[in-house]
Amino acid sequence: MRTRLFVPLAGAAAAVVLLAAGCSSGGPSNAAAAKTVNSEFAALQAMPPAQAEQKLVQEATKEGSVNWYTVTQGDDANLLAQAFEKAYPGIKVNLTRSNEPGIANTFNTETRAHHYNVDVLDDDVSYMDQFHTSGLVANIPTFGIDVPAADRGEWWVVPDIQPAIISWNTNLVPNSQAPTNYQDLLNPKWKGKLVIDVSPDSTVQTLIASWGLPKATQWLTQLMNTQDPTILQSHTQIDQLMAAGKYAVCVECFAYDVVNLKDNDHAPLNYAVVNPTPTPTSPTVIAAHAPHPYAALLLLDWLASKPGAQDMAKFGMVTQTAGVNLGSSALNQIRDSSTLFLDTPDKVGSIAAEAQNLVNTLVAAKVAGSGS
Amino acid sequence: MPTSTAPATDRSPEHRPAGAPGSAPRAPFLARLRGRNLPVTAVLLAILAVLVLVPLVLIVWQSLTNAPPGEGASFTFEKITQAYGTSSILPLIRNSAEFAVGSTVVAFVIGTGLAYLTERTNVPFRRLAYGLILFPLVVPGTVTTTAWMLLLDKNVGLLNYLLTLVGVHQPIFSAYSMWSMIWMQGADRFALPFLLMAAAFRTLDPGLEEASAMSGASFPRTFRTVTLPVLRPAIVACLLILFVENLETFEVPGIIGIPAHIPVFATYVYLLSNNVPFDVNLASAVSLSYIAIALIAVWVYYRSIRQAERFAVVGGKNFRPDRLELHGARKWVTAGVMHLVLLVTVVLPLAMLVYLSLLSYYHTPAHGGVPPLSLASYRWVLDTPEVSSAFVTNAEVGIVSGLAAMLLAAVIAWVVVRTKAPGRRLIDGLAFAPIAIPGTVLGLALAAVYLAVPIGVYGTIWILVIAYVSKYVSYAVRATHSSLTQVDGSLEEAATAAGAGGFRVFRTVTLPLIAPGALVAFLYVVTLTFKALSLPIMLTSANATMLPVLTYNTIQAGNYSDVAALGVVTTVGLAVLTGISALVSRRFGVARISGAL
Repeated sequence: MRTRLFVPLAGAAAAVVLLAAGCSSGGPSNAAAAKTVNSEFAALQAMPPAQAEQKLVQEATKEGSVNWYTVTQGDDANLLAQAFEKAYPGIKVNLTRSNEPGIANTFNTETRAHHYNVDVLDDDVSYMDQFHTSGLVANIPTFGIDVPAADRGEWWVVPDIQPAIISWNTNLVPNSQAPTNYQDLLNPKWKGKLVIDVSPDSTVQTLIASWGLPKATQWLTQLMNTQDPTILQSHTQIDQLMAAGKYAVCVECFAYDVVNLKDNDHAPLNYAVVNPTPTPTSPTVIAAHAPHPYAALLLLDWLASKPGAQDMAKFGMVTQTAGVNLGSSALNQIRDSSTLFLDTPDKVGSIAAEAQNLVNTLVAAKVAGSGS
Repeated sequence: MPTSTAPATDRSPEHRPAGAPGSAPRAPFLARLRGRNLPVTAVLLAILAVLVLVPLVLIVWQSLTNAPPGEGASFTFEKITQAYGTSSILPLIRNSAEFAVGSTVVAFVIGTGLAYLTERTNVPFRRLAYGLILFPLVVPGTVTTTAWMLLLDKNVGLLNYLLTLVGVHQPIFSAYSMWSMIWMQGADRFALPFLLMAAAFRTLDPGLEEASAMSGASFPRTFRTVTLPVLRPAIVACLLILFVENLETFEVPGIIGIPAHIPVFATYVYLLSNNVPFDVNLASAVSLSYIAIALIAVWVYYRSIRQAERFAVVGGKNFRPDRLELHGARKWVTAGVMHLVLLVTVVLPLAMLVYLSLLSYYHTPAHGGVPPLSLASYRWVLDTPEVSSAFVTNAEVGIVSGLAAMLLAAVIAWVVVRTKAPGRRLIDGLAFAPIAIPGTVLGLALAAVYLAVPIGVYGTIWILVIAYVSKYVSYAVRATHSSLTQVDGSLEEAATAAGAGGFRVFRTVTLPLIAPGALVAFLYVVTLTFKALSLPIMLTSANATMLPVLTYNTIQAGNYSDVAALGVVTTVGLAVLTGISALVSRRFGVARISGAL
């Protein structure tokens, strides 16, 4: 009886699966949807700024909510969402937060299945570039955007930046012996004492841009294979464990976190700002199929505006928007340094793919247990 | 004494030859269908097919194709070759086996030892031990693992630091190793074998041991030749269910195994999902062996508990096994060892959590004396909307899932135990199979199913409810099943004879009878939704962030003090829930809880 019933049941389940496999293939084309959002935005751009702003707020309020998929750290993302909701009552921000590249992956998976839930998203530049090439990202009108020209493009905005520094625990490494540049990290005395994030893409991009691919490849190969650094997922986790004294030296730590732990929590940390300074960004974009395009644009507009930047600074984030004090002289100094290399889409170009390939081969593979 | 779960005998109506002398006249066709509960059976089979078979078939389909559903996939063995054609799968199998077997042995030894001491000896402070033993059931695994990580760390671990105070300056412990992973998992899971083996020890007929002792056998010999063989079915079932649970767990492999470069199946599937684009077909191909190993273990387990359940009816002879009388120093040394084990496995990580929750960032007192303490992390727990939202979502999803699983399980158990409906064995088997589907794999499959079938489930709490009901209905069925087998069917027969219809009998007689078991099952499912990470990690979304996922993300962000505060608050809440469960189980016997497991 069991066999007689199981076979038709399994067959029915298989039929459901095959039906499911076929039933989601008829969605609108990416290009068509992008064109719709783009044409609405173009109409806004053509209006006088004040009128466009008014229409934008009206339409966004009608939409009532915006779905933001972000890699911004949990507390910061929540605080920003609350600040936006306070600035625009009646528009709710639905946050989906994950680590890189979880957001890019979720967006990619959902979009391939024609499930269009994302309005605004941010993640590593290489993924955003791929999405733009695939027509999954809309162009952004420029009114209301206060960030410097270097921090925005036709389809992306970088509201905040993450200057990366070499950091060390002063209980384990005297300042006089600390590494101050990338070559220092290859000194045999640091073998087994380094820690690095699983996605050091920005550092690798910066080194490729500065040194060229062969030298950058040689450096990363030597770092990973000879120095045997511990690989962790999440920069903030690394910063905390550095403060605890678990690791002596961090290859790529986020400045705002290290400065905060050092100055506010009196953690035994110090750092060196390297020239050029890798500065990861998470380009923020609007999805071509955004279900709430006006609310998406309003959120992006606010993130890139001076009030948004001031709120970011209040929450400890680093923004380049003119005239915004970060509340820490050390952070202001790092932010205003001329050595920053922002990994924005226009700057990294083909470097992004080269860096990603290197990171996948030498770093990520090691995490999966199949690396050398 | 066989129960109604035994195979149909020649006396059952469906085996009586039609038209045979003495047989009743044939009832009309529709009446016969109703009598055999075919509509109920068909509905149950349809529900279980959607919950269990569709995800399983999808995993197989995806492993044999080269694109996700809806993207013009074609059949190929490319992903199978990619998954199994290289030697990289071997470390994965080896690590998974070492971790699952090792942690099973650790949990079993600790749990069984404690069960024996509390049930079969007169060791003092047994009630205190009972209370402590149940704690690991309610503390989320992510939180315990974080506590162990910071206790055992080679460089900044509290235990290595404490050893330096007594002159041991070379670190002894290291968190990032297979041995540590096995210890952490084993120490987190010993409550399960404790409950199962305590129930077995409690129902052990002392007459057998007494007869052995009377014939001159020593205690060790009696234990080896009498006690152990009698307990063998319970031991086998306990080891198998532990093995399956340890094979699918995500907490320890995710928090320790990933940075330690010790991948196991659960983390490998998760890491594959972090590649852009996510190769869902490769992940499905890898999952096949994962499911196959778990299915074999579950099949053996299922057979062993079915055997045991046939004889689970409480007999008329009331007995209470004799306790081994310990005297003098032996008694107190045994008590000391038992409480030392509990101190190390339960109190130490809990104390670490409380200490951690009061720090602004984790550090040992090694540098700069005793660190300043603060309640900032508790303020974060109370003031952060994301946390309160996760608590509310978790409670909603947990309660709805628990209720749905409980009701579905009650109907399944009734059909399986009380009827001769065709296909009831298949229903029982299908309801049990999800134990073998690892959480990450089930999550992966359900996400793919409900992305492809646009019925508004994906990205809502309903996909989580479906996932939890699919995964945990097996536990609920076991609990209600064992309740029903221990209650004689004559009450329902009397109600039927008095003219009550099938539904009325079920509602007014069956449900109240199985209520205690069903309530324990409900509370257990709710507790699991607050604890287990492997399932929601693949299904989380803006509108449906579950507490274990929020905890894991907070760990990933390195905010260990916030994690600890979150863990303390969650543990207190779940301890209350478990207290209710314990009250119920104390009222109706610990066997009901172990039945739920």
